[in-house]
Amino acid sequence: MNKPLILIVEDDPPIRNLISVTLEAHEYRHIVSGNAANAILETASHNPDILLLDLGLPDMDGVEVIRKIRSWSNMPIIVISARTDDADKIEALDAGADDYLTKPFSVDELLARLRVTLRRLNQARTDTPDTAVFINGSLKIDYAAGCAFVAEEELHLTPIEYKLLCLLARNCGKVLTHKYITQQLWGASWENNVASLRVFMATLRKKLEVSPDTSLLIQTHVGIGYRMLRAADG
Amino acid sequence: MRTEPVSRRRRIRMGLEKTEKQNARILVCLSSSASNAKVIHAASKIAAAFHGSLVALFVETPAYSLMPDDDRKRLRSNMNLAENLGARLETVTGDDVPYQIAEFARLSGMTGVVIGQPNTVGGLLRRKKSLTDRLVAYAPDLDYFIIPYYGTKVYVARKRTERNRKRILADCAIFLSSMVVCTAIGFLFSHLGFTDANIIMVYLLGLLVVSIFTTHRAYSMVWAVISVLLFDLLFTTPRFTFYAYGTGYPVTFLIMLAAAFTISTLAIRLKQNAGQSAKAAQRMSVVLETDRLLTKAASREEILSVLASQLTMLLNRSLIIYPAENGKLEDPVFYPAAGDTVPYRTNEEKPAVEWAFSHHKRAGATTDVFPKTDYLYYCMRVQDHAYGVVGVAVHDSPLDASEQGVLASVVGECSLALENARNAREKEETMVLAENERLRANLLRAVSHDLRTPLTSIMGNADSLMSCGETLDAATRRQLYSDIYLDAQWLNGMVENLLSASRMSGGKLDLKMTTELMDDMISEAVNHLSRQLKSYRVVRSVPEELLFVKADARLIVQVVINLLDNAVKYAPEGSAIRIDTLAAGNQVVVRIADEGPGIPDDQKERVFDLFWSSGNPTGDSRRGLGIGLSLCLSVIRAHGGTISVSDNQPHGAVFEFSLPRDEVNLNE
Repeated sequence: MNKPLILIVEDDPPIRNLISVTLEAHEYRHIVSGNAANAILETASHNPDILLLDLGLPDMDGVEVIRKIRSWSNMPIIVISARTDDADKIEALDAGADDYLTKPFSVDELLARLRVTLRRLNQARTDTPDTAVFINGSLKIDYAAGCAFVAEEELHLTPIEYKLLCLLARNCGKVLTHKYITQQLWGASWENNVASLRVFMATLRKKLEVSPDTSLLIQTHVGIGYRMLRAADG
Repeated sequence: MRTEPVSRRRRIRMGLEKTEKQNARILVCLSSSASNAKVIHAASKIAAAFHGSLVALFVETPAYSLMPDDDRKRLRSNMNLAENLGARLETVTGDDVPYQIAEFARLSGMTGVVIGQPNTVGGLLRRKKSLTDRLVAYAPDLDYFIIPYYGTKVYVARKRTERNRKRILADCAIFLSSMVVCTAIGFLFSHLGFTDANIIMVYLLGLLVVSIFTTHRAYSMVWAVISVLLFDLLFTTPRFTFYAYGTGYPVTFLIMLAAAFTISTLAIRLKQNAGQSAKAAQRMSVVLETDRLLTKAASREEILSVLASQLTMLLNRSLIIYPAENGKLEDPVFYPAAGDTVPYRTNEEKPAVEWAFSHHKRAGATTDVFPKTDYLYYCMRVQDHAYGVVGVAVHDSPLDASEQGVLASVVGECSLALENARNAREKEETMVLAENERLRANLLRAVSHDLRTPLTSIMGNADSLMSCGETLDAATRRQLYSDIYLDAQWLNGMVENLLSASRMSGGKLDLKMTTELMDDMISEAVNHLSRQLKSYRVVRSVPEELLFVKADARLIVQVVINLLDNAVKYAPEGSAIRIDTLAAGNQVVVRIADEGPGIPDDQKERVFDLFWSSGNPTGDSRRGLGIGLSLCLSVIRAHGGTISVSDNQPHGAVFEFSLPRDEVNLNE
């Protein structure tokens, strides 16, 4: 694959500048946009690989932009938000964003998120949609057989834990909100479901601890949700 | 018997005694007579002429219970009339009407009394003094307004209702059986040869029984006469004639008759007083109990539940309470009485409720406003502020005067309590507001002072890099860059704390409580500080079991960040920072121990104070702002936990906080 094209949507010039300088230094191709209307236009015409989207835009709410773009494209969207409330991030993730960055963010963090997303992109291009086996480091899920292995050792998972693992694996690299996960697992998102989710997540993690490269595979985003990382990203 | 009017205490508490006393306060007496309406109208005019207030008093005498329905109806209409003319209704009980009026007037500081007087021209029958004369004798200081009326016959022949007929039958049965028993005993005594005196005693004993167990004194009187006649007829020689040979017998008969009359009078009075006292005492005790309970009740809900329980106890009727907030009626709470199966017809009742609420008056059944409803509504109000409406089920049995009086007292007490509660709440809110304002001002001052230091450094360093960056050597440049970075990082931490603090101000209003895994939150904090913690050995111990707490995750993460940040600030690089999580009873304890210099004992108390910092508190040191630890304290307290500091061995500080543990019911 050629160098990916990244669209930066940010209305604040110094931050826009910071991001574009960083991307340039790391040899990413990029285009910039200062408002939502222009961003949607650029997305449609250039079809970038990744969208870096600031939520606080002058002409439209960032979440609205995500919804509009999601109506025709599945491109990865990384949201950038000033830390005001977790609710904004959750709303953006539920609207279809893949990841989020909180201002102020460090350059390293930005680059790390881009790498994670690009890897996911590449993986998605090589995988066929009906891949029967998922492999991530020493973790292997055999969807057809309905079982999971770490270092060729079968994991003894409860049905819920297995469902949870599959859900995270299918969305590997993407932050899944509590609401999304509970809805997928139980069909409803009640407070008690979220609490149960934490228990299952904790027990699932404990079972993954058998190998050092899978023990940190699942990332917690306190107050927001969980994400499975690619083993190489950890 | 004296009944202290509740209204007086009420007024004293309202603090209105003084102002009202300067005005005229006119008392008018209510009765069941048709002419009473004229008196009430006149009293209202008099009160208006004096710019005074009007109180309508009903004295409930023992005869009240025997009052026929027509009279009760008229009494109620007179009460309504008085109320509509702006009078406050009061009820006292007692059998001596003028005495009760005089006592009431004295105790509630009345200035004048309006009474009606039948103008009976032929004064021949006036054997005893008129009501007015006796009232004047009891209370000579009052102003009297006498409203004469002619010819209206007050007394209307009583209808014998079904109930009355039953009672009469019962009384007759008691009378006759007592008579038979006494006579039988008399025969027995005379057969055994006891003296006449014993037989007389038996009849007097029978008289006592009759006067206590029958409802009307006529029975006792008839007994007195018949017993003398029977004694004469049956037991004096010659027997079975009304003659008596003994010379002393006429005297015996007379004395017996006199004793019989006296005893019956006394017994009846005793009985009436006892009945009335018991009833009045029960009502008084309900009012007093209400008062006592209300002093304990603090919130509006508590006050309303006191109201409901007291009224249920007092009246044993279904109740409905519509609380009001900000001038709007809220959804009612219904308290059905045992056995009341009549459904509440909201649509029919609502207009009466609304009317009572907006006009601050009674409405509904037995009043002139919406009389077709099932309930009688009282507005809970103090002066011009209405706090809600209480509805009492009437159905087909109207409340009697004293019930209404006590009901009004209890409702009044509760309204006052509601007002007090509201005042207290408002006062507290103002105080909290003032305290917040003070804190905010202090915080702003401290913050703006503390922000300047790092900003100066950032601006200065950036400036020198811009203007003469080329001339500086690489090491110096690198130092300047890193200073800018560190200062900006410090500012960021400060902003995080301020954001958390802004959510905390005003108590625990804005906490978003969710069930969280303690270790997740600690991991997040450790990740957040990963750059600073790089040069320390972070040692974590995690228990086997999962420790959940109910908490606002963002704030608890901030607490852990602040505690770790504090450790980083004071402990030397390369030392260990221990983070332990453990369960202690129903608490989850987190312990963060560093190997720094520790905190001297005399300062341990003050570390959590706002703006405190070790070392130089007034200098420009950027560690000057103690907001971090003070935020920890308020966050942990708002979560119902505790936070403390102790010494690490051999040196260093241990910060420990605990949060209530939460259990999770698994949803599989």
